[in-house]
Amino acid sequence: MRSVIEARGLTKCFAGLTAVSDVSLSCERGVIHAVIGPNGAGKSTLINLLSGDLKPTSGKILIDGLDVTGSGSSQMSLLGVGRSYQRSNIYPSLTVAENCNIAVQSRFEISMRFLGAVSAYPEVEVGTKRVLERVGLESVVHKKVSQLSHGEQRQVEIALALATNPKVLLLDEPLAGMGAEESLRIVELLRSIRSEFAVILVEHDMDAVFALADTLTVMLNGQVIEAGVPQDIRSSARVQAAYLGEDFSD
Amino acid sequence: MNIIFKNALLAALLVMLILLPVFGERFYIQFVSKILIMIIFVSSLNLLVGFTGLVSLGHAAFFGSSGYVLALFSPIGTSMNLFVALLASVLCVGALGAVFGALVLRTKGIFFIMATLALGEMLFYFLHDTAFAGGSDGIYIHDRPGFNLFDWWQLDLSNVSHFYYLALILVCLVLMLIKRIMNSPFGRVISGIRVNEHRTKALGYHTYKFKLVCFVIASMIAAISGFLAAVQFGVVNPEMVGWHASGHALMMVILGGKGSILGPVLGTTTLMLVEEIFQVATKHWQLLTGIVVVLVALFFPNGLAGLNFPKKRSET
Amino acid sequence: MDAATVLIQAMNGIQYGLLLFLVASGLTLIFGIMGVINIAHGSFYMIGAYLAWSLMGWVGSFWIGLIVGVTVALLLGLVLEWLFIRFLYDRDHLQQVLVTYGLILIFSELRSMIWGDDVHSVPIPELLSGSIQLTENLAYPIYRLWLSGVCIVIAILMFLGIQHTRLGMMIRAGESDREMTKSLGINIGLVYRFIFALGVSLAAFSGMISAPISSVFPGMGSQVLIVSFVVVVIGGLGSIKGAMIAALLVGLIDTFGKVIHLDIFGVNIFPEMSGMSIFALMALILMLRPQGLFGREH
Repeated sequence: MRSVIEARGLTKCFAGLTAVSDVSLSCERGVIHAVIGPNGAGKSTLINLLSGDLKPTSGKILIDGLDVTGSGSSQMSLLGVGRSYQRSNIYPSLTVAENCNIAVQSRFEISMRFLGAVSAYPEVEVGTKRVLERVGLESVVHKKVSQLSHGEQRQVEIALALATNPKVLLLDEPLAGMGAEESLRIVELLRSIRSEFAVILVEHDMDAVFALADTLTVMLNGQVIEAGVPQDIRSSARVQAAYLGEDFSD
Repeated sequence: MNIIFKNALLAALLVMLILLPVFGERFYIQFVSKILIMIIFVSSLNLLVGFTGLVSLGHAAFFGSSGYVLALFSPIGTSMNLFVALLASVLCVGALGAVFGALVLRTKGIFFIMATLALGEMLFYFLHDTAFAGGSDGIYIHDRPGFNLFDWWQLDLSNVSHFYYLALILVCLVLMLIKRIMNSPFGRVISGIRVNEHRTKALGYHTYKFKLVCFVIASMIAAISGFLAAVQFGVVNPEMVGWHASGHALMMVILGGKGSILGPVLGTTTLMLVEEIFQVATKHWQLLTGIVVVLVALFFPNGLAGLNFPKKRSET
Repeated sequence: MDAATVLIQAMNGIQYGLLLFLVASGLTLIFGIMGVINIAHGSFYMIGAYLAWSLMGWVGSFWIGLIVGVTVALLLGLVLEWLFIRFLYDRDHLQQVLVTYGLILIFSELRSMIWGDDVHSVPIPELLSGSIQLTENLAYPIYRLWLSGVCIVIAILMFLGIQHTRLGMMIRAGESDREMTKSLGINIGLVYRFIFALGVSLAAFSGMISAPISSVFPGMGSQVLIVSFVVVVIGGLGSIKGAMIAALLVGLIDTFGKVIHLDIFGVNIFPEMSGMSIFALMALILMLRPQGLFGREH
């Protein structure tokens, strides 16, 4: 199967410091590809490169085989890359529905219309309803996001990414700060939608990673030290060494 | 506050406003007309400051230049058709808004504030220093535009009641327009830009484009108020584009409570009444205004709307 | 225009630019360190000029007046920071603009109550009242040379401070991060109060030394404020070097704009448009480099 998103030799330097060095990976539809590694390994930077939030110093990004290197975040989104952020990056003072409206209507040519009400556009209403049902937020549609629990806010974060109907889903620590029960719900959610997307998942929760991932890339100091299927990663000596001191037994 | 109660209050207010010319004295009709004009201007600024998060200190450029368009295009000796004149002003100012907006929206935050102020002042010096715009004295508008309905009814804007009703109708239309804008898909994106521009970009929006459209709309609404002000006073001068006019409107935005449709109504009315009282009390009334502004900005940053309708407040 | 006129205008332009630098750098300093946009900055310039005028009358000496005036401005800055500005550090720009705009109204009205609304002039101090003969029939006033010299000395001190202190490092980074300042292990409240007062006295000082060469009038505060904004936008945020180069550029363009005659179809456009030349430059910069000549992407 052809990969939906592919990175070739991605490198990012900040003022002399190389945060991501020569990273290559690819992901196909229906596959969850996890990127793991200790703090400061460059995982978030990698996600930011793939989403267009940062521009790579060198290397290439391909979507459906097309070179899209250098596209900004809004172009990347329109090319079918949806993402969630490690720290919730949503609209706290707007309601859950309004949050999703903004994301849903980005896929229709109606955002410049300023006379009709949003409710007059069924595509936005339907899309919003669908995505909220998916992530399980139907009961808080008209609440302000700032009044939600942390877990619910993380769900809104994922809802925004899903609402843009992406081909690729970049998830930057979707479980960060979540309780066990909430985590389980998100894992279930990801499992239920995995067939529709190419998912690149950065996550520290190893139980979740090994429960979900089809393939893995392990990063250390900006470089890829190992890549492969979960069984290989688990038995890799280099990965064991990188995670020295951390609980890495299953 | 109960929504029914609020609507009843608004309806009562509207009835009182409609009846004012029947019972009110000339002075009060003119004074309320001035407030109505200012409400349009402050609402247009609120669209930028309160709804989009763009703090402009040069918005009076559009208020004043609209009057200049009227003054420069008015033929001497005859009265122009009101709607043609108004449309001409709004369109010309919209074009100016597009040029200014395209420049200043390339900056953010404090730079945006400085750039809007500087561009507004550029217009001030342009009108102040050039002969065709009448220099510091400005231009008089001798023949106010009017409107003739099949030779059956004549709208005469030198008549205070006629002018008052025109201003009242335009205020209602503008407030309804802004309400519609904020409930529209465009309004959603604008709210998104205010709350979190970064995420809005990441959702696929070219935010610059949306801010520019909003800037142009705001400048065109400001043009409506500038047009009315020029007609009411019968004169335009460079002070009308000056940055103190912008600062004055900004005070009203925050006094009323930014980011609510009725905030500008509340803020404008309150400040203009208060200033009227100050002016009667002392020659140095600006001192008192200054103190009020400082205290409001320091202690009631959500304005009067924030005090009265804590639950309706859209922003905190 | 002959060479001598060009030279004199260039010197006037540089002198004006240096003065603008003093005002604009205070603005950048206050924003760069504390994250506060202070639109009342021009009022302090105006207050300085009026102080110079009345102190000359009271104490008779420009020099004693200068010392007293700067001290007064420093105290004013400390009091204002304590009363108002310290509440603004964590607030958004809109509230900062409004509080400082309110201060403009207050100062403008106080000025009217104390000093009236008339235009005044301040005599050039005896010591610097002569001129230097450049050519046979061209002379340049010593006072303007002295003024430029003072500005250059202050600018050098500022550059040294910014290059060699940790606080200066923050300004160069364009940061206004209270956490970071705290991590430097200094009493942040006191540092901020002092820096604000320093900015105020810098503006007042500029107003005082410019009083003898330009008249003292009510609108001088907003005039200098607006030109300073143009300087900051052109120079770029957090860059003292940018502020310096932009100030000189603006000073020269403004000065030459007023003397160059450019006829287009027999209409002399420059004297009419001279007030706009610096804004045109700003518009050009916004088009080509919106972050300013020396600013980072923002």
